[in-house]
Amino acid sequence: MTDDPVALYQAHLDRASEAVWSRDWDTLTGLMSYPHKVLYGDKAQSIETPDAFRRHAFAVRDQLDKVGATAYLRVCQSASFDIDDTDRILGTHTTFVLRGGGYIVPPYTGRLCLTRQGGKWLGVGIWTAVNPAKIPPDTTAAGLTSAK
Amino acid sequence: MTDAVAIYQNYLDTVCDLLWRGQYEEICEHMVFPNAIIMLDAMAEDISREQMLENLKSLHDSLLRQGAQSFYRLCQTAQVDPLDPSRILGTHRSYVLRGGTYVVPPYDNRLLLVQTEGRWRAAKLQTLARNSTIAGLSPAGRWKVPVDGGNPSHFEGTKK
Repeated sequence: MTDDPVALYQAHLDRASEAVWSRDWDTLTGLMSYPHKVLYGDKAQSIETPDAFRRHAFAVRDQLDKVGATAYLRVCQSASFDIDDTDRILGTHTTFVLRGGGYIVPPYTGRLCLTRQGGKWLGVGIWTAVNPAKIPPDTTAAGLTSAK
Repeated sequence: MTDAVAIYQNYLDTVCDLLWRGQYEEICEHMVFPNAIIMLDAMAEDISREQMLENLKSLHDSLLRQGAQSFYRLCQTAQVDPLDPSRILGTHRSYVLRGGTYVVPPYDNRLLLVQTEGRWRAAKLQTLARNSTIAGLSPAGRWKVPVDGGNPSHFEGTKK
């Protein structure tokens, strides 16, 4: 297994994104530790159980359908081991909610903390600038991409 | 974000959107001709506008055939040529997506943009993808097999 924090972070993002999209809640909830912190903008919540996390993720997935997304991509921008704890990785990523060749919302930033438990890297908490369960319907109707 | 990165990403976004809408003629307005595409297993360095239209349709068809529902390209680096401010050299990663999964593993590319008549246009693309997977060069077109595959020297040192 790699010990490159960027590769570990990206692998976590990819597994979680795929599980969200395919509504594979067992895999998704198994990728997280609990209680799990979720922060959107300046609003924080603590998700205590896998079942509560499943309900949260269910709302995110439904919203992606509602806004007509055809792809959900998250790309690691940076990641490093915690200087005080090599069983923690802190990183940043950008989220792309896409339809075809264009954005549904402008790409937004996220920060994620991972922890190693029993040899597995699990998500401890996430902050994103946009609440994915409240992505507005196509804010780029005028063509965020094509109008450039 | 530097200006070069913003210009480069804007270029990628514009063309991706047009590609997915099938607006190949419009994409050609964002290119100079003759154009060049160098892939790991195929290359063409004198692509005409007519050939590019075939290539773009070939690429789009190839993505759809594999079940792609989105195509996204993300700038990784871009810089203005210090000796020629009408050129931007950059790198980007391409994502062929279906929902939350990659249809093919993400692959890296280099692109040369040149500014003509006030618009940034693609002049040359080198990609670490294979034409046998991502059919960016139409089977109907004339292209040859590169001698040294994805050797970045294909791209570096090129001055248009």
